[in-house]
Amino acid sequence: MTPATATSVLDWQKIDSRSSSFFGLREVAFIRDTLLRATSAYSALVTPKWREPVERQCLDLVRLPENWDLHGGRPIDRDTVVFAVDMLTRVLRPSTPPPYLVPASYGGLQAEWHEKGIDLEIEVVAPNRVCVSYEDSQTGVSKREVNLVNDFSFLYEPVKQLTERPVS
Amino acid sequence: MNQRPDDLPDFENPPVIETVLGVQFAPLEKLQATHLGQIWELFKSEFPFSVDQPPLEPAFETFGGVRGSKRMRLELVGAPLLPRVWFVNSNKENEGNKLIQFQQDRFVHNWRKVPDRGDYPRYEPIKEKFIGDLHKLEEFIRVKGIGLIEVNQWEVSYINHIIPSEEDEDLLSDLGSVFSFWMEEEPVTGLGKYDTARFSMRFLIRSGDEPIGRLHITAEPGQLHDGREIVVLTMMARGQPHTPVIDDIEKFFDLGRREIVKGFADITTQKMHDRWGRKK
Repeated sequence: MTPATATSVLDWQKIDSRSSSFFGLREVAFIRDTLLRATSAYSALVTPKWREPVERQCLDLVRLPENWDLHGGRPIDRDTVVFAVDMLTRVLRPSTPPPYLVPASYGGLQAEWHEKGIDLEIEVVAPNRVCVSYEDSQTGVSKREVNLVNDFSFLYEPVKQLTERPVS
Repeated sequence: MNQRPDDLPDFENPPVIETVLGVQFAPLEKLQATHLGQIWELFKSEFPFSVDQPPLEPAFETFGGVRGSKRMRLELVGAPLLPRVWFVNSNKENEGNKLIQFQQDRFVHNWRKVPDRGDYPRYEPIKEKFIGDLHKLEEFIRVKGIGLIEVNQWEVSYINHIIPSEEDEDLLSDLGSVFSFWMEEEPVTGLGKYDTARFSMRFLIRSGDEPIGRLHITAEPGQLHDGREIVVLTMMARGQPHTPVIDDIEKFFDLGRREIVKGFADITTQKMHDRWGRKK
């Protein structure tokens, strides 16, 4: 595994010929892990059912222009989107229902679920600044504005309930 | 300048060939292309050459949840993003031994060992230089009204080339001679001896009970220009500082370096330690 931010260069003369563009639309392309394109069609890896909806919604989010809500709404910060995707990949299970991704006017975003008697809202204000609200009408659990930084263990139980509870 | 801690393992000739110190920060939204040339001017006397590169994606160490999950990689294509720029101290192959990398949300220094470019500097002067240059950048950013540098990740990396010392030594199929945890018993299957192997490991870095970062270790086959097959051992410590203030970063660099150096001594064998001249 090469760390995702590999900045070390063993041969500094191998210059990437790809040129950067200062213009053009702000697009997002998700590159699926190469392992999913492996020759084995029966790999133990499972493509999560939430992946495509999250990809599609992220694409819509990063396309939002300045003043997207007509009240001065800022475009969603790229780093915030990356951090949110990373968090979701870490905490969601393959069969977890996909979240709704909602933009915030200050440039953050919120991942939310309202189903199976569960209201779960994960607000990603910025990288390392997450605020969670969780209510479960079946168990009576109610947690409001729980601040998380980079440890998302708190989300284990809500995600477990979201994933495993049958649709009523 | 801080002195090297006395309790850290030390080697006369460690196999390290490259050291990286870097910080990731909230993107400087007001940064423009014209600023890049001005930033180069800050360092040009020492780094007279510049190369554009595609920007690196942000990366964050996070915890809790599934450890084996595959990351979705997010790449911005055709976006109005500024490039990553390299400021290099030489444009001749195998001469440049220092590199600054800068992009809208990253500032990184790389040092590598190159023959005939003097002694490879130790960590303490490398860190001092990095912090000084980061303050220089911060001052420029502030004066120009571009924004503030609010660090959200720090990174320390050591890259090692473990080279066979004898002509017939084959490290790639004898990792047990390099790594102390690699059990090198006789083959227990009909597959015989492995041809090559590679591995990656991650360890949590904690502050008290709280995970604040990770130590990533990878070992894989490599080849030198002269064709010799080697083991490339990369050790990267990365995490989040307690505050985004630059002056807070130094102790996290020290923490990362400590984890790397102690980890390096722990995972390598006495045979290798003797070869590299372990002093303590």
